[in-house]
Amino acid sequence: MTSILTADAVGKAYGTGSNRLPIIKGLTLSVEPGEFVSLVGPSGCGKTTLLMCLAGLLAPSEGEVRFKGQRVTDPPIGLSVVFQDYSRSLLPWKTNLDNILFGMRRVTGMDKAAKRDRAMEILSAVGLTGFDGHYPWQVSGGMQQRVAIARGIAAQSELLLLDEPLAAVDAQTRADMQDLLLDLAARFNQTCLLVTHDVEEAVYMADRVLVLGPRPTHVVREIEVDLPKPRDQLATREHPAFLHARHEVLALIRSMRQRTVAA
Amino acid sequence: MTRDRRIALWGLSVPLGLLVLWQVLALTQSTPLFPGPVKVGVAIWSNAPVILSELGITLLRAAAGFALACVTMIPLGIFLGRVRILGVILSPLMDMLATLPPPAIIPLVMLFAGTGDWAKIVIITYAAAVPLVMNSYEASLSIHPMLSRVARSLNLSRIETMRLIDWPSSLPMIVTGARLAIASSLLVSVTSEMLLSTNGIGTYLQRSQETFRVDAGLAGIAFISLAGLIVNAGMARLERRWLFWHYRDKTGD
Amino acid sequence: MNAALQFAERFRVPLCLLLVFGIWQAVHLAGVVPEKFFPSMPEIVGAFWRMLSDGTVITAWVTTFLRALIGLIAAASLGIALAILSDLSPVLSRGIRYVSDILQPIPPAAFVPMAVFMLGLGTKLYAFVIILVTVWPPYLNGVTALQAVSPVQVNTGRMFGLSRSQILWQVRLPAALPEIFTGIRYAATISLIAVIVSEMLAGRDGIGFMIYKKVYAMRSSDVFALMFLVACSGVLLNGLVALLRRALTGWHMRMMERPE
Repeated sequence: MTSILTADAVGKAYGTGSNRLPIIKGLTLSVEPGEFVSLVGPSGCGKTTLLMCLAGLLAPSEGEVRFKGQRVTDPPIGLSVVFQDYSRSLLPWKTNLDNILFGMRRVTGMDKAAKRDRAMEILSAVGLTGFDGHYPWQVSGGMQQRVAIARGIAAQSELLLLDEPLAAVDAQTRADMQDLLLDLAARFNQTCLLVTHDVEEAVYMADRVLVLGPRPTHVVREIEVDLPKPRDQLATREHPAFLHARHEVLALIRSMRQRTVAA
Repeated sequence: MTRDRRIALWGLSVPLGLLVLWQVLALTQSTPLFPGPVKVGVAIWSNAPVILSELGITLLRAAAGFALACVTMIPLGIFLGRVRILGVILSPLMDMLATLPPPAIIPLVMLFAGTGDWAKIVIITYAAAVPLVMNSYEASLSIHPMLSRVARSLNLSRIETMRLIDWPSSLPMIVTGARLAIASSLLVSVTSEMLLSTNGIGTYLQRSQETFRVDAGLAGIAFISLAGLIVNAGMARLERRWLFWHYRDKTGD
Repeated sequence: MNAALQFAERFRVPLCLLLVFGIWQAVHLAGVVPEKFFPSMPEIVGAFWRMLSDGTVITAWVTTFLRALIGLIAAASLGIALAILSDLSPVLSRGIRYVSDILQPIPPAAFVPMAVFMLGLGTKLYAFVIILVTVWPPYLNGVTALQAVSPVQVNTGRMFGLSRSQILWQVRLPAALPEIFTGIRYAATISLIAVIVSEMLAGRDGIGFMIYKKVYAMRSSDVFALMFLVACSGVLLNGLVALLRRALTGWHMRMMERPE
């Protein structure tokens, strides 16, 4: 089976000459179809820059990114990003439904009515039945985030890149959203790459956790998470494999931080 | 750095292109009543002393009117913001006056005060008053309640609160009003001279029209523009010096 | 205290009118200002009615208002077009900024005496003066607002396969529109100023010319009545802008009206 997304020796630097600031260096990763992969790393390590490179929104300075075997230069069809700043990624002059339809503009083989039906179906899948006519700013932050996720899925997406999608919501909503995301990923066959700074979240959600090093960042370790599915907020988090993986990631990040401070 | 300079240099081609276009248009018209930029340039050179002395009078009056408006209207605006009930009742009047073009009151003042210096200063004061009152009113209304709580927790006296908290926190908005007021005073200063001719750059423009010296008139306009540019640049500099914290707040995001 | 404030808030328009009317009449009755210059309210209303019934004021008003309105529409369109041009090329942006820096400080009145020779007394004169002074607020706000559109919105557009020009039309322009309208509202006031001043100076028709004539005839109640009409025109012009704004950027207004 071919990987859905690969990054091969990707590097990204801003500026030139003495002002050159390398953010990513020699980063290699691959994501297989149907997987849920988490990317964690110390804060400020360039996670968002990496995600932009993977999504084709930013051109890497070195190496290449491939989506389903095709080299990524522009955002490819079938890849959706759910931005961290979700409230701004929704267009405030469009209703929730129109925002989702906006995401479906490249979808082929569906007429207007079919697109509408599909959008409504996905809206109800994220639990927003009856909110299609509302504007994003008329609903809560958690709901806005769900609209953004629904829009990503509706765009006939196969791979969802999630940029700290839950960083701004409260703890209870967060747990609910984690389960919703897992459920959606299974239901709509979404391969997911989740960028997060929350180690527990990374382990809880993922089949595989990739740990990023400090700047210029690259993947320093890959940890398989062998936990039964579906995940459960109580049982999973108490499972020995969860605790083991969590420990491994946290220890790694701590050692990296100490090294950075010492240096 | 070099890219910025290159853009700045190439950008000059837009105004220069317009000048060339104007020159071509003037050549096809070939009448002294449609002078090109070259002729205006000559007129700027030969009329500069007269224009500058007239412009000085205009600017002086504008400054007097603006200063008068500042000392009376900023306190009035803050007062109306503090005594809420008066502010609420008078806000429709302020809205109405804001839509009444300042030059439209020139004829009124002509009725009352004739055509002397004071008549013009009164008009300029009025023109500068509207944005100043409205902005200082809004500013004193919109001081964040958090800041008042800070003041109380620091045990500041009433006067200290006004000086240390109210004044600086409403300053950015008042300055915005002041900038509008300055533009408005210049505008009305020139306009009032054109209607109530005695002296100043506005009168100079009228005289140029009467003597068919279109080139001299356009030279006068060039100097008005220059004066405006200098005033605006000075204002921007002062703002950056005094209100840097406000702008840093905005761009820092 | 709070009840009084609420009462004032609700009835602020009639209360304000009552206050102004009362002070006005008090000044009139006290006789501090000669009656010749300071007519009573009923006299002003009478003067207004007289001018209205002989029809002169209506033609003049229509002329003036149409000039201001058409000028405003032209200037706003041009301003937005210039803002879009500026957005396409940094060189053009800088170049247009030079021109706006030079022209913006010049009062509309200053253009009139020279423009009369160069453009005649007709439509060309009014179009030139109004557009030259009215175009800048929509332009300047447009440039700032287009620059300030959130990169997240732009990236969202790119992600769904919008081209550069599609992003401009479907994402950045709608996002910038509320701020552009703030500029247009400001421009509306300027456009009215420009028309009235030009009419006073070019002197052939319109409300501006009428006011000028009445001042020299010392008809103070007529002048006050006309001033009131000018203020109403300003309100009307602003109202029309607000109507269009609600139609195009209603989402933004409702968003702003929402309590936290």
